[in-house]
Amino acid sequence: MSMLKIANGTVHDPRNGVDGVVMDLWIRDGRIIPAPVEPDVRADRTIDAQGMVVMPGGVDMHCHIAGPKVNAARKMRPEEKRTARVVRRTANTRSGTTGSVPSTFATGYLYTGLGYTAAFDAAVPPIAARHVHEEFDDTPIIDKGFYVLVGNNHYVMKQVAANEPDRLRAYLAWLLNATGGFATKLVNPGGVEVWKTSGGNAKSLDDPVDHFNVSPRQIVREVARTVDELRLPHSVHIHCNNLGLPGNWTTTLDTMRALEGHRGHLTHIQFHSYGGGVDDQSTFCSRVPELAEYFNSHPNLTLDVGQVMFGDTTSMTGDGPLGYYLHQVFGRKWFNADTEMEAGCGIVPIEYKDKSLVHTLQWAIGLEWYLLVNDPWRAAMSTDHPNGGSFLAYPEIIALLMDRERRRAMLERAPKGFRERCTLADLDREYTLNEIAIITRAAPARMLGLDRKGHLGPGADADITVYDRNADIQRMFEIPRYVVKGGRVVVENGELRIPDEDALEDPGLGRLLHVAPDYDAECMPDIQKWFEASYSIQFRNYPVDPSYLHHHEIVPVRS
Amino acid sequence: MPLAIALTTPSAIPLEVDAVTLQAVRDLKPDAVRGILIQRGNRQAPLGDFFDVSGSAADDTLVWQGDLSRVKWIGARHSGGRVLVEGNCGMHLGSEMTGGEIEVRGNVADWAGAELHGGRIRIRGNAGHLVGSAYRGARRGMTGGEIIIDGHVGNEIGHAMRRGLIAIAGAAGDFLGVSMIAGSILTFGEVGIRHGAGMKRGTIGLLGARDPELLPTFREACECQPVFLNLVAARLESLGFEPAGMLRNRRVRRYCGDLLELGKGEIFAAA
Repeated sequence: MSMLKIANGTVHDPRNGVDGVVMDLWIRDGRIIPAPVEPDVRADRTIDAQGMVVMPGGVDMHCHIAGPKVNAARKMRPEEKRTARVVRRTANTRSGTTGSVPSTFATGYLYTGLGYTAAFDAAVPPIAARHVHEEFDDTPIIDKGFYVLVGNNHYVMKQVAANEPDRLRAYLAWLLNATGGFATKLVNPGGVEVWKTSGGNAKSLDDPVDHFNVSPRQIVREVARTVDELRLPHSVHIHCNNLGLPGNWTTTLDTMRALEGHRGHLTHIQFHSYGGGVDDQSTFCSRVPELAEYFNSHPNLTLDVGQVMFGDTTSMTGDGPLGYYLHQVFGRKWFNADTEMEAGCGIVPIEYKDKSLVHTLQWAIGLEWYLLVNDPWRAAMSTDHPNGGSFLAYPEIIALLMDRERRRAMLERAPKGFRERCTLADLDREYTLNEIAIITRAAPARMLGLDRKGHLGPGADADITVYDRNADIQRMFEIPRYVVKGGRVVVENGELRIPDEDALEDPGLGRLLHVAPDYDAECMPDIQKWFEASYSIQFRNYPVDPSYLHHHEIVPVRS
Repeated sequence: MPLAIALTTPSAIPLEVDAVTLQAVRDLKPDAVRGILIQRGNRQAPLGDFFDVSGSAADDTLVWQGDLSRVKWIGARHSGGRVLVEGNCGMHLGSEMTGGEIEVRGNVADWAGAELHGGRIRIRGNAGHLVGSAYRGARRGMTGGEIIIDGHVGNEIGHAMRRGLIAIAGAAGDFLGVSMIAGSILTFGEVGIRHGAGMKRGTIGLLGARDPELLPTFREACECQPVFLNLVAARLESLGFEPAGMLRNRRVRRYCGDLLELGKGEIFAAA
C-alpha cells in the first residue's frame, strides 16, 4: 500500500499534546504511522503543507442526517429544495439537493468539503434502523453511526418500573446489536409516551408516565447506570424534558442530578438553559451561568451545544410534543409520527430571526455555553443540525468563538432588552486554534470512545484536514485545502477529488461505526414474548441483517 | 420589429425556456438567441434546434409563435416589457414574474402566473389549474399583479394567494382561493365547489354562478352593494375585459369565512 506524507504542516493534535508544532505526518494503509527511522524512506506522495494548519478530521457527534424523519423533512420542504443549490452529477458526485436537509449523497459531500470525516445521527427509532443503514450506505466518504431512541421505549420503562436491571441491561445490549446502533439516546424521557397516550407531556423529572408507573428521573438514572455497566463507548445521550420552554433550566439541572454520578451526555444544551415563566415569553432569559457552574464541577457530564444560527431551517425531533409546540408557535406545517412501542417524531420548518429577542437570546445562550465551560474536553460543537442551523454554519461559529469583536458587532444589533437577559456581552474569552481542535474533533471523539479518531498519533485513522491560514477565520474553516479520509486525499483545493465508485467501494471510506455488547441470552424469551404481543412485525424480522451494515467496524466497549 | 421566436420543430418531450427572458435577449442578435441553451427533458440543447428567431427585442417586445403547448416557463421571472404568445402555451407561464406584461392569444396549461409578484398576465383563451398559486410546499402564492382570463379555468385558482387580482370571465373548477391569505378573485361564469377552503382574508366573487355550493364553514352575513366593485369594474373595463360591467352597482350576498381559520375572508354570491 502506498505511503502518503503531509510535510511541514503546523499540527494541532490536542489529544497528543501537540499545539501548533511544525511536523510531518506519515500515512499508510489508512492509518497514521510513526515517522520512519530510516532516512532514505520516501513517501509515494507528499503534500507540502508548509504554512498550513493541520488537524484531525472533524467529528460531528450530534446531527440528523438519515432515516425516516430526515426523509420526511426532505419531502416536506420542496419550497426550500427548489431554490437551494443543487449538486450536479459529475465523475466525482451523484446528483443531489441541499438546503437545510440535504439528500444523502449531498450530505456526504458537504461534510467532507467542510473537513468533517465522521458524523452521528442522534435519533433513530430502533425499528427504522434498516432504513438508516440504507441511507448511510448512500452517504459517501464520511464515517457514520447512530443513536437508538430508548427513552420512551415500552420495554425499557416496563423493566425500570419492575426494578429488573438485568433484563434492562440485556434488552439495551440486544437492541444495539439488533439495530447496528452506536449508543443509546433519551429524548424527553417519558414525556413522548405521555404525549402519545394523552396529548400531555412530562413537565418535571418526577411526573408519572401514564400506565407505566415510572418517572423521567428513573428512566434517566437506570439507563445511565446500565450504559455504564455495559461499558459502552459513549455514555447515555440525553435530550432533557421541556426542551425550548422558558424556565426549563431547573429540569436540566435536575436531569444532571438524576444521573447520580453516572456518565451522561447532555445534548443541544442550549435549548435547555432558559429562565423565565413557562407561560410568559417576556421573562425569557439565560440561565447558563448556574448550569455551567454545576456542569464544571461534575466530571461525569459532557455536552454538545446545539447552537442556533439565524436563518431558515427545519426542526426535526423525536420529541413529538415539542414538534406540536413549535407548530403552534410558528403556525408552519407540521409532521408528526408515532413509532409503535418506541418513539415519537415531530417536524416543523422554522426561521430564527435576528430581530426576535427570543431567537437572539437562543443564539447568545449557545455562545455562553462555549465560553463558560472551563474544560473544552467536555463540550462539543453542534448546531443539532438542522434544528439550530445547518452543520455548514460551523465555520461561522468558530469565527465567533475566536473573535470577541465579531461577537460584539453582532451584539450591537441585538434587540432591546437583550443585555439584561444574558451574560454574553461580559464574556471576553476567545478560543485558540487548539481549543477549536478540541471541541470540533478531539473532544467529541473522546466522548464517543473512538480511540482512533480525533487525533493524529500513530495508529489513528488517517482522517486529516489541512487548512490554508487566513485572517478570515470563517473562510479558513469553510474551504479546507486538503481533506484526507482513511488515508486517501478526498478534497484538494476545496474540490472533491474522489471518483464516485471509489467513494462507495473503498472499505476505508464511508464506514458504519457500531457497537456489539454482550448480553444475557436467557433474557431473550421475555423480550420475544413482549415483542410478539405488541409489534406490527415479526420478531425474527426485527434485527437488521449484517449485510445492511456494508463497510462497518465494531467499536469495542471501554476497558 | 419585435423579436419573434417561432416553433419550427415541435418536441414530444417538453422544452423549458426559462433561460429566454426578455432581459436576457433584449440586446442579442437572432443568431445569439438561437445559441441560448434550453432544457429538453434532462438534456440541454440550443434554442435554434427547435425555434426560428428573427427581429430584435430592442423595442422591449418578445413574441412567441406556434403551438407552444409543450413549451414550459415562457415569461418566467419576466420583469418588464411585453411578451406576446401567439398560440397555445405550456405550463408555468409567467411564473414568479415581477413586472411587465404577458399576453397569450390561445390556451394555457397549469401554473400560469404561479407566485406572481407583479405585472399583468392576460390570457385570451382558457387556463389550466393553479393559476396564481403557490408552488407545492410554499407558504404564499401570488403576492401582487393581475391575471385576467377571458376563457375558463381549472381547479385551485389562487391557492394561498396573498395579494393582487385574478379575474375569470368563464367557468372555474373547484377550490377557488383555497388557503387564500388575501387578495381578490372574481369569477363571472359557473364554478365548482369548496371555494375559499382555509381562507384567512380576501375576496372571492362568484358573480355568474347560479346557487353556488358553499362550505358549511362560511356564514351568510348580509346582502350589500360594495362600492369597491365599481372601481374594479373601471379597471377591468379599461383593459377591455368583457364581463366587467357585471360589477357595476352590483348587489351581492356576502358570506364570511373560512370560520375554521381566521374567518376574515368573504365570498360574494349573486344576490
